[in-house]
Amino acid sequence: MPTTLEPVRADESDLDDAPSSNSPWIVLVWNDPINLMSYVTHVFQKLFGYSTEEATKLMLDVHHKGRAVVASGNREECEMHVFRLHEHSLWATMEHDEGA
Amino acid sequence: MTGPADPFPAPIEAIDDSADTRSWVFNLPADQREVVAHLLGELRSLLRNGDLDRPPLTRLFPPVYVDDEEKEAEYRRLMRDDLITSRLAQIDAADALLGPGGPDRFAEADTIALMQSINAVRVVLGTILDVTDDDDHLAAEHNAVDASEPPDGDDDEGDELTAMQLYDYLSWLLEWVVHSLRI
Repeated sequence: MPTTLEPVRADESDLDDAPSSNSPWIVLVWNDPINLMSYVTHVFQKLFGYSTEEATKLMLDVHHKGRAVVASGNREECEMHVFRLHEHSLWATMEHDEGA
Repeated sequence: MTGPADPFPAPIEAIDDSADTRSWVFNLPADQREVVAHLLGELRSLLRNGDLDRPPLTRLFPPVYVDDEEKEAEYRRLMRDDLITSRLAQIDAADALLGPGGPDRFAEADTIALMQSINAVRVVLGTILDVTDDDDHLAAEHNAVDASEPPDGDDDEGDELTAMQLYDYLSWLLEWVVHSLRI
């Protein structure tokens, strides 16, 4: 039984409303069984300036809920966030913020 | 993700140079530095010659747009070479710390490069070993291995156990690198 919640391709037909091209983007970090909790927390603090408490909460969200939104912004900003997370070998993706 | 390792003598630590500057030092035996340097060399070779879209490298280059093939292709075209270059630069910076001619003290940026590179090797090893959330202290489950000692490479129990021991050893070392950066 898989223990990792993997990013999955969304079926456009399942969406009530396709996000507009102007809606903001969000950066998600997904749970994986390899990265250490202390390492993930440290990376969140280093890249995004979160406090220890904030970073720990996000790390625990990733661990227990399978993913967490760690940043948001326009497409270019989020692509840079994802790139820096990938430099640290975290499993990051981005998508339109459907709640915006 | 796995939890913190048990405490061991610090293999790396930060030293206050002045009120607002720090440097880092290794307390790592030469043979252990050689093991880490060897693993970094293996990762460098994989990045230069391996297929980045196939295991065990896929986790180092995950998709960004899981629901948009066009954007994903564009992102890869623009950013993949930069990510490879960045990873190789991290490895080179970390490798320069580990050899016999390495500096007695080194800077935070070098320590961060070491942290990133050690973790990248862990990710590749973890992919090869198909690590799951239930696999804390992998080698210990098999052979009660002291995680602060890397395997000697002569283990008769096979390559998989050696890889597990290396994975646990790097997990232990990474915990200390992160710890040194947080203090």
